[in-house]
Amino acid sequence: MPLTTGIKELDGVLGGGFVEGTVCAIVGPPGSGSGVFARRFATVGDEESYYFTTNEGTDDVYSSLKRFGWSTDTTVVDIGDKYHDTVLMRRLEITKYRQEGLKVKDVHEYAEMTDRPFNFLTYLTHEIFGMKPPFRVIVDSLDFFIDTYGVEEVLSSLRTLRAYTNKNKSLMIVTLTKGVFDAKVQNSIDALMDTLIELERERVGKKFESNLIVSKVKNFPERSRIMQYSVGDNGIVLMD
Amino acid sequence: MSSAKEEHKRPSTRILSIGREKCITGIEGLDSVLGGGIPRNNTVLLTGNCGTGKTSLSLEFLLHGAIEGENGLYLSVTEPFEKLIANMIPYDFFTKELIKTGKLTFIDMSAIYERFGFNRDRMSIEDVDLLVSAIGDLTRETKARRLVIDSITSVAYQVDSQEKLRNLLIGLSKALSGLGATSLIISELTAADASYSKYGVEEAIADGVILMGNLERNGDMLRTLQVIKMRGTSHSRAKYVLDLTTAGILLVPLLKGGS
Repeated sequence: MPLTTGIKELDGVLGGGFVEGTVCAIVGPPGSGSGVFARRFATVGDEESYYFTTNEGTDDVYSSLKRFGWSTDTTVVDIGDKYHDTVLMRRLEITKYRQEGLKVKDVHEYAEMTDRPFNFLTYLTHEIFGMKPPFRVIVDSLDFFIDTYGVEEVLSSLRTLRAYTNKNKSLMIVTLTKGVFDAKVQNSIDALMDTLIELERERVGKKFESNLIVSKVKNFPERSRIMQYSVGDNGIVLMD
Repeated sequence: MSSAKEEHKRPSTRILSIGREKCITGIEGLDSVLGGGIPRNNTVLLTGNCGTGKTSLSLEFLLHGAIEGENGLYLSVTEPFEKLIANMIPYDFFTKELIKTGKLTFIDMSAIYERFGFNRDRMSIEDVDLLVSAIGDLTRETKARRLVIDSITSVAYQVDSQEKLRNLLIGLSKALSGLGATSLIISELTAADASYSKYGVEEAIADGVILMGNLERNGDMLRTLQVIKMRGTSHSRAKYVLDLTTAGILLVPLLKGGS
């Protein structure tokens, strides 16, 4: 049974939706709306839905779902907030100590702290392993993890998660910003995906023309397609 | 004049005080070997294989100071403080009061690294400078007149070039002597090391080098101590045998015979 994308035209192209147990990447330049697609995919289907966000707050995600009139029946996990609390605050503290120097108290306090180092990639993987299948999990965006832990670690986690998604006939969708990472990184991530959706934006005269390119559907090369799309208050509109 | 000469000739049990003001280690025998103690503000490399008593000796150096009213600072890289205290020889003269009253302060160096966000396997020049100034700040804050770093070898693992290590040692030695602290810097040797220090630069920069070792004699393993170099005092360079007791370390001359 294919898993619906929530967009009729896209379901049509994909033969009914995403294939069960697959991983999909949405790759687009900043401003192309990859987050909007991710949210659309998150809020349809019967699977338990989880939305990991790295650069927006939980409220931002819910308010944009409401704006489009989509279901808010997804669990939003705000990685950005956790990152702020653990990593950024710590960096701020480091700057303070580097600037102002250390007191005995600072050193002794640290020795008493029992915090284990927090790894967000481990956290993400662990959270997904804890989900009740079938699930539909969205990671928006992968940029954060590659930035923080490097591509090798991310690839190794993705391989694990892909196998897990596959075994549980579930769905995983990640977003990635185009042009941020070099071609080698991009290619190794693309290679790992079952479905690859690229977003493109061009200026034509005084307008933007947005294209959605289904550039890879594993085992179904004939399903590749280029379509025009627009994002408005009614959500996403696709035209063949 | 002539009596002083005579005194110089025969071995004396009386402590001779020659040259600069001394920091009395309080370790029986060592002060007389050093002609009264370690010249104040010296940075001394305490070097030797594992199990030779470097940590015990340096702890005792701090304890005696603390009891006499000189604050001590112990910077440890290898062992957390609780473990250190637990494994310490139960010295008759140690009380936790010394820690509570701030006469003795233990610092876990890894906490300094974390606070400054150092990269574990490669410290930059700036990091090295920060570390030196942090140790200076902590010395100033605790009003420490005696300081131990256990060990410089562990610190050096994080420093990836000889040049940075040199900076670190020169910086430390300058900062600490400027603050009026007499320091023991522990250096760990392996049996294969041919010089007095792991990296070869430590011994050249230190004001003094005390070598500790093991010596097998008649099936017994003895701990030995030898003052190789000590600026600012005249000292014996003979090898002594070390005895670790709850009353403190005892130093006795190594008898040349085979008894």
